[in-house]
Amino acid sequence: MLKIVLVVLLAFLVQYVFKTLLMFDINKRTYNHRPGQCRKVDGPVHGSEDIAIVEELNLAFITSGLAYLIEDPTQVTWKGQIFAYDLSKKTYKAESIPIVNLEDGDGFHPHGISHWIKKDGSVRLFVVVHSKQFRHSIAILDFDKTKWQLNHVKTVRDDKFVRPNDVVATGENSFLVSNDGGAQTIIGNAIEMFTGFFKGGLVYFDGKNSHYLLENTVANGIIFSRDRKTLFVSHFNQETIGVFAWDQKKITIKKISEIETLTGCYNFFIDNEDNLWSGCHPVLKDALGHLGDATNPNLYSQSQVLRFKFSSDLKSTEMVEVFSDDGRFTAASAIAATFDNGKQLLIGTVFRDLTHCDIDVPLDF
Amino acid sequence: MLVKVVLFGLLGVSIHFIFNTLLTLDINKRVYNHRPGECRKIEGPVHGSEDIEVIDKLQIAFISSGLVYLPNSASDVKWKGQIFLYDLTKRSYKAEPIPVLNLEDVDGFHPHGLSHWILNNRTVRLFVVVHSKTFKHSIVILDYNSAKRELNHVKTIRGEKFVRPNDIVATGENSFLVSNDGGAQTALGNVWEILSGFYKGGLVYYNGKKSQFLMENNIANGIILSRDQKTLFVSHINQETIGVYTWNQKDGEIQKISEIETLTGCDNFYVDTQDHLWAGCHPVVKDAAGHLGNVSDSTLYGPSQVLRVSFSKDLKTAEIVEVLADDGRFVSASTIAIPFDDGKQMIVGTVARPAIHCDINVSLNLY
Repeated sequence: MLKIVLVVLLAFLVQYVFKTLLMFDINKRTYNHRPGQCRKVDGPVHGSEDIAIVEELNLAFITSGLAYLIEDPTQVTWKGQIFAYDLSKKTYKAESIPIVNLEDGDGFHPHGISHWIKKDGSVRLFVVVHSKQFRHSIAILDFDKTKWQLNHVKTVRDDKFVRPNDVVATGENSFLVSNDGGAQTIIGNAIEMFTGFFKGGLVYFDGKNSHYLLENTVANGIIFSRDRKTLFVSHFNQETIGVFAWDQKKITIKKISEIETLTGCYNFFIDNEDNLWSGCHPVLKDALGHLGDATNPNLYSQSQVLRFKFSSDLKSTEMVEVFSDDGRFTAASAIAATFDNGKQLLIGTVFRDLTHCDIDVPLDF
Repeated sequence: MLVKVVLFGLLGVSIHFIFNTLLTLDINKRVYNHRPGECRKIEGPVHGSEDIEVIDKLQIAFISSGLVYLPNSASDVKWKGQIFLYDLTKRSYKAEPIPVLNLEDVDGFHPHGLSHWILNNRTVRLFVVVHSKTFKHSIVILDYNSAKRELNHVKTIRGEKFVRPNDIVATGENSFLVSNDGGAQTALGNVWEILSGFYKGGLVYYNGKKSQFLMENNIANGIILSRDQKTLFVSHINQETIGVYTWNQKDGEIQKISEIETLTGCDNFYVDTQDHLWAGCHPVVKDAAGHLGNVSDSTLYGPSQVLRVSFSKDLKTAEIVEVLADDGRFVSASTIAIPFDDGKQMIVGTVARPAIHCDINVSLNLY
């Protein structure tokens, strides 16, 4: 009897070790290729983790200076900023934009970003913010185009914003937030990853109250389709993309499909043909090494840009790899956004600079 | 007590073996599609385009088609072995089969690897690895008559050292190197060879009269010499590495320089005018094995990958660029890739399916 228990335990252990090694992508690598000429964009050096493209202004907002799972606030020697990049010129230079009236200027480390065009035509930004002590909030900022600054409107804090990663605006004061886990420390995060008992999820804030739409999962990047009827959720650790129907009136989601990618996709962008774009991490062991010691320039990890074209029933997808790099040029891609009718591409990274590429190859075949 | 120790040891070995086998099969890998420009299929070769040989001076490519590989029985082989000719100066996307005259055994001509040599009188001589329907092996030497557009049989060479020949590279008018990609002559034997790791392939040098082993107990798939004929590149497909050796033509010997890990099964090689090595590869073994085990089933396909490998001066390291990747629905199980038109175009061959012709609209010099 005891022998049977031991054999079962051994079998479980062997299977567990095997799956863990596969999760770390021990037999994977990237093969470099680019869709055209690529150049670095001056400006953001400590990250370009998320990008919001405001097509009406031909402008991209880029969050930089992320602080993530911080053990010691004194380690955070970089500044959190939001950069603006003019998409109508190939300047390859992004400018840091002033943020006026922040509650805590020193504790502003932006993560996910989304925007909403208000009734008066002005642009409102929703930003996931962490402090140096890894406290979380959502900052709402209005863009003043004439003064070229961001005005702080409101900071929203909520106990359901457990470990917010990305945000998507659903109105002038409402939004969805993804939690990419529950642990607040590196050790806790490792335990969460290894056990598979994820504590992340999806939260809807209606302007006053918040409630859970998804719990006990990992949700990284989130975005709506152009018609605002479909929600895409990156389940980073499971290496899948969840596709949900979104009902704005009832504030409910309903699962349509889950796309396996075999790569860790981060943040999302929807182009004007409703293709989903994402910055991904194809080799997890190298990504963890780089992200665990982000200021070490000798450590870098692979970048991958994928474009997903969904079937009309949203149950299957065609994937095209638009960009792939071993990390020496672009390390740990987190977001990819296209503009200029799909002829140009911006690639943001978790802790490094921004890449701007031309797209000279066909993506539909 | 001793029995328990032995049993635990065996258990450990078994777990390790299963683990390595599953990794070898690439169970957690996939291909993400991308192309360097517009691509189209080439009409003509439908039962394979396993090797392609470009004659720079004539701007033509020879394509071997109709490969027979580890057949279960001769009656399974319903296709014809052919050599196609493709004009690289036109975008005809159509290759013509070229007549092969005076063959000893027309029905048993199933070509595999190709190489060429320019004779003193400027004639193009082709060296072809040939298998029969019963999987007997030989090397066929053919001279190309460009006026009549036909291939004339010159000689057929058989040798016991041509155990299971795959690719060939000419070193003279009557001399060549041949790779053996294993020793087993049946599909089952091949599986056993791969699983056990006791490889019986290698490299053979034939000097015009006699042959000798240069490498044994290995796997050698594609082989090619650098443009200056001083460096030999060998594809160790099962180990997923590329072996780099110095080649000494006078002494007929090789010396190892390095071994480049690719994490993909690279098949045949081409060296371009700037000495970049191009390879058609199989990035996911389990899908390639499924497809190649039943090549007539059109619902089965294997992923394709084209890599350009650029070596450091000391030939010890390499930069790898992925030029094309396909899950197999467009181009299935790529084996060879050849750039031309100053690197602005490319043709890609497959084991058992049509070849494709692509434009290259992106820079491949990234570092």
